[in-house]
Amino acid sequence: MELETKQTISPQAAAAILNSISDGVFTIDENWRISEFNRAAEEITGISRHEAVGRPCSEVFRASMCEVDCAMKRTMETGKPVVNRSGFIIDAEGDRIPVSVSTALLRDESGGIVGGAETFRDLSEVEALRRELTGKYQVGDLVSRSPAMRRIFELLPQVAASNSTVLLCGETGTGKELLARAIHDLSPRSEKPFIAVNCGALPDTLLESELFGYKAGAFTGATRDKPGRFAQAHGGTIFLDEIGDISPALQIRLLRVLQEKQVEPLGSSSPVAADARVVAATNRDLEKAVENGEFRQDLFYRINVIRIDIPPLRERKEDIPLLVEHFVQKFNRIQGKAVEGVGAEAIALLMAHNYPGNVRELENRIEHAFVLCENGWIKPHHLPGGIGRVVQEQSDIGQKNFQEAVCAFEAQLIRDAVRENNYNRLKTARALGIHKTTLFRKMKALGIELPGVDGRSRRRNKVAEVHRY
Amino acid sequence: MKVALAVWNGRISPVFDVSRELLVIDIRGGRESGRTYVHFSNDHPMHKVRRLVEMDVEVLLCGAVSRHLSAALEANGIRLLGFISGEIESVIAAYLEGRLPSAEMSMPGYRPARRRRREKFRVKKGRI
Repeated sequence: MELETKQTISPQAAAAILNSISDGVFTIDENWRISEFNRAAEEITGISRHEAVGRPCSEVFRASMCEVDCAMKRTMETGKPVVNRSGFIIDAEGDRIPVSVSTALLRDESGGIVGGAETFRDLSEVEALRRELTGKYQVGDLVSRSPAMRRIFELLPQVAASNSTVLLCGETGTGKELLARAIHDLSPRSEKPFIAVNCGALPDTLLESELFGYKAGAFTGATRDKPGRFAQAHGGTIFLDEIGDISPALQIRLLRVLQEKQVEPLGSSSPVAADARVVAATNRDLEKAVENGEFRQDLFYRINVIRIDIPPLRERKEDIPLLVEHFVQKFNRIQGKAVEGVGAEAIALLMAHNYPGNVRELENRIEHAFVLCENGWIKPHHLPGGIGRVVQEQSDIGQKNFQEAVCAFEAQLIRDAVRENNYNRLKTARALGIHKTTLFRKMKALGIELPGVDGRSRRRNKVAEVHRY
Repeated sequence: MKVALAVWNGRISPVFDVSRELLVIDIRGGRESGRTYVHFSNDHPMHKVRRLVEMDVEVLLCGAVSRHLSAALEANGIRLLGFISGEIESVIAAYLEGRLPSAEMSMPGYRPARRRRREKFRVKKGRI
């Protein structure tokens, strides 16, 4: 904004003009102290004019560029205005507010520089809209736009910053290890090792020596000391996958390690300090396992400090196009191909599938398509099994006569549409391109019952809740 | 005990999230017994938290700080006195005399009362 002017205006008029501008505007004197601060600046920063005037501009404006590359300083040095530079400011509540900043010089009648003017625009809404439009949200290798996953992403920095044990619950292929790695990468331990152990993959005795290590001579064949995974993860994070599969004896040993922060290698008489942050994961219902006496209650409470439930892919199908794009980029990079993306028909097929194997299964399908598709768009025939396979997997129409098969297909279609439209009947009918009375009639005929949820009211998403204890 | 100050141009750095220089002072018997300047090699918030933890810093005196970063600092046991402004030496003197947080050394718009309530709560918790 150009504030240089030769015309004389009264201070009252100048103040009125400044206050009528919807962008934040402040001026500084030659000592870098605030001399004017308009109403929009008060609103955006949360700082009143009388608090701001006379204070150093960097302590009022508190922008990301103040210390590193001050826009006003650059203007002072070059004489050229800066226009729409992006950054963020921190308001009095500690919120980061994205802003764009423009600067101009203030000169007196003889042309000498007497200060500068800075205008700034609050980009919070633009930023929110942009995010809403692209809907893209990524933490580490995890990509999601679903509200349930976003909630997890938002909490992740705080979860990562703490030292507490985290329990990740979710079906196979939902990305438990990716989430554990993201927690590690965001944590102060990120430069130390991240050690992943699949507790379900090893027999009990082997797992014990794997986790805690052993001393030379502890058993036949133990010719030298071997540090356990806990020792390897010292200072870092240990990820214990399939924690629900470990034996009761090992559960006790693990409990002791978590309580005392020490491990005792096999054959050793002295414990070794184990400073590893534990992230455990399971695809089993641990509460039920505790009830059935298969999993120790005390160990469950010890690992269930911060619990994150990862929703399965079938409950966040809105993520499929985003994940597909992510995997296409990934495989293009790895395999040096130039696949443009997945065509509309193929996307529709991918969306129709139920994904018992979750995101991993989707990734495998895209990888399969990459083998068959060199460049251009991925078509239905590039996908594993083609159209028939996908339809067969998502319904049970295989062994029926024509009429039964049609009914089964209709029922499946309606159920999926109803769920995707959050149980809103009218929206579902519109999505299916039929009248709502036709939908009601078909639902009645096919015996489809809906839960007592009314899609017109906001449904509480119970799919993924992050519990903190 | 080690107390760190995020500094810039002889004053407390305006925004800790992007500040690059840290003055770490050793305090023994209520007096300063040594000081070291440390540079952050990058702006990653977790890098800053990690460096402070590695240096055994117990208290951080800094300017504006984002909510996420302050949560991460407190989660790692670092006591945070944020939104402080002023010249380095005056801030150190005020800290050693137990005058922080104070209205005259707070950034404009910041209400130290909010933090003071938290401080009181923390002290009570400690006594229990």
